[in-house]
Amino acid sequence: MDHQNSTRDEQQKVLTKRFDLSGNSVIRQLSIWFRSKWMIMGKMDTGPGLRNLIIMALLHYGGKPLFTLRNWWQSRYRLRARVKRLLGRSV
Amino acid sequence: MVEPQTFLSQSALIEAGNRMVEQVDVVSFDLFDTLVVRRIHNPDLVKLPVARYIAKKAATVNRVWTWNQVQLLRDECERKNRAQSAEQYPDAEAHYPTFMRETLKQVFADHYSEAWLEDVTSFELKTENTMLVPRARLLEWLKSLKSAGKTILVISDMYLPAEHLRVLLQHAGILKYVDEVRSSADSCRAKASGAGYDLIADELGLDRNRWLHVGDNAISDGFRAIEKGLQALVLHDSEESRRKAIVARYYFFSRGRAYWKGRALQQLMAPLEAENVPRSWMYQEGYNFIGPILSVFIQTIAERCLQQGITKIFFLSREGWMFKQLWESIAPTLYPADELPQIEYLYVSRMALAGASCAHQGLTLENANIVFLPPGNKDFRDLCRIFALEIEPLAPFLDQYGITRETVLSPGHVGYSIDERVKFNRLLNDQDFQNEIRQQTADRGEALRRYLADSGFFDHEHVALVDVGWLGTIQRFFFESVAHYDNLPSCHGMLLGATRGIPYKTVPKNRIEGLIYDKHVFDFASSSILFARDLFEEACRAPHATLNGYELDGDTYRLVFREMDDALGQAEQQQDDYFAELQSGVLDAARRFGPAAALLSDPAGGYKPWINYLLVSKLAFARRKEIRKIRHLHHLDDFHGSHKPKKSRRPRFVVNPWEDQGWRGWLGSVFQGRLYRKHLRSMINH
Repeated sequence: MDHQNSTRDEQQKVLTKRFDLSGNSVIRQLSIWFRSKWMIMGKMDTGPGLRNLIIMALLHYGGKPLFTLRNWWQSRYRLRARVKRLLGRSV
Repeated sequence: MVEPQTFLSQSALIEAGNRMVEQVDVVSFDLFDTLVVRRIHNPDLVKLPVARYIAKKAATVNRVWTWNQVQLLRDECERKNRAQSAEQYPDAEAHYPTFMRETLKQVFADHYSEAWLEDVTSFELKTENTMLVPRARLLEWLKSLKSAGKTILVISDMYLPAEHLRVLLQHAGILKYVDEVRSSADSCRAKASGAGYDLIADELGLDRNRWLHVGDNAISDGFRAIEKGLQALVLHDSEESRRKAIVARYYFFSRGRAYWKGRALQQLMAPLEAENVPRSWMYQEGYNFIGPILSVFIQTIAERCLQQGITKIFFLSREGWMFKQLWESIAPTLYPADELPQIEYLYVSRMALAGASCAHQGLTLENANIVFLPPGNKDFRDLCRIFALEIEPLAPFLDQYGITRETVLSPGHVGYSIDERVKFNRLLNDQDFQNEIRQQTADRGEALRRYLADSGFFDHEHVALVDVGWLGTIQRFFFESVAHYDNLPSCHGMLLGATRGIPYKTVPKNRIEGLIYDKHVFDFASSSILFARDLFEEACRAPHATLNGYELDGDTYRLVFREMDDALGQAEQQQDDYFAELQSGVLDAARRFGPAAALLSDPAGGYKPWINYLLVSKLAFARRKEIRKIRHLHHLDDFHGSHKPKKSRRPRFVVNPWEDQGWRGWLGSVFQGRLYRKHLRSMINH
């Protein structure tokens, strides 16, 4: 009972800072996927597919530096090329 | 040419904006992807529910259109509208009322009236509202600018006119801080060409040198603004790009593999920005685990009702309290153009209906066997307690057949003898005994009839009876209580899980179906729900006392509820408080489920693989911490007696951790695979 109360007091966001579901992360899906390779899990249609799970794990866990770099690159270089093309001048 | 300042986060933009704020009197904001973000990655997907709505409405006036045809027509009308604008104005902007009117005129033909346009516009704005979320930090900054005396403008390049944008801003709670809302749809002068800035500056007499514009598009919100003499800040938020990329991937995967449909749905349901505040464990489990399962259950009910022409749904107490609220949140959003069945919460319980079921048919052997299924029931006294029978008038019959009230009738108890049981079975064939039972329970049966007549039960041809499950005993007793009435409707029992421990007597007017789990459907994964049945019962249970029975009260009837001031009642109230946050999470999830499912437009069956995954991962392979977190404190059932059954000869060391919190349960949580294999074996063997 005491332990139940202590766990109840822990606060977390429903959508984590990785944009994943709290209590049901992509890592958990991966662990169930691995288990399903050596024991029957039941009907989950075709399942998630390892490639898809890896992509999602990358986006959730490695997405922050990737997208920071991508957006910086876009605003620094790609945008200039687009402005040159659209407005006919360089910046 | 001066390059606009670009920022990769809201906080960096606000910091830079605060440094400039002294030099400006007017601050204008772009709307979409700046002040508000959409839950979905592609704004065009919001148009699809509108196309479905129009197609459904067209069908009501016998105009046959598929939603794809409606969408193509809308795109075509919008394209023509843009082309016409481009001939006269600098920007090829569309005007929603113009192209939507043209679309609806072609769809509805002679049936068209302006009321259709108003109806569709209202639906489109409602759909947009469900998908829009104000950005918390920018909104806070906007409020501080407003309180500092700045003029706040919202400028959008959008086909919706300013009048419609005001509706969206009102819903997002932003309109009260905004002085002027401008849309390119009204003037066909947009930010994209820069003509929009000129028009606003001229009409409002603004000093361009003291005007700061904030937006997300580097060209129209950045370079064009600077070109027109404004100061500009561009937000190129990397975290928002990441969020959208994640939604886009889930959506893309969900179109190829059914497993991801449910995951994509949950991503769209998730709270964003200021909605996403820290919550307790209980709330999270309600929102991310129980909520989606129950919401899919409700969607399945809605599908069955629409397919089978069911005109009224009775949500059976006490779990029906939660189901009814979920229905009210989900069904109108998911089926806006359909005529949904009426709904009613019906006060029933196994204890209340057991007595009423004897009023016409007497006490059957099958029903007596149901009483002796729970290990706590042992003898004739338990039978009388459940069927609300007075034992004294029945004592002479017991003596006649050579059994006593203490004779053990349940095989799970010490002292059970097959000979004694045979005597009891013979007693059930005695017509005088049965007449005495009918006489004792007649009032209960009549009171139930009056209650059902009052609830409109007999006014429909097809009704649904919705309950959590598991054996379908409530519906069995219920149907047996009313089966002899001529105006009886067909009863479609819809259960969360149907274990069918006792064969259910299915007849054309009475059948049950487990919508998430049904023993008659071979599905290992969904059978994981059996690991924690009590969890679902307690998560859905209404915070009111259980019903003890129906009584006649003059010309009417009276519902008799259990007293809650004893130890069991107090324990139930403690359980109510303990699960209050979990129930709140479930209800909040359901509010988001409707709009998200309407956008994806998948049938409930499409989410089944994901629901199965949730059941397996969160119940069969639950973490020890999770079990401690969401396991109920108390689960009360008056149907179960208080006798102790004989101990099993074979000791069990690994047991279901949801049922045992001791060391055996701990072993169960360590050897989950073994426990799951054992569960699968029992599913195959039984």
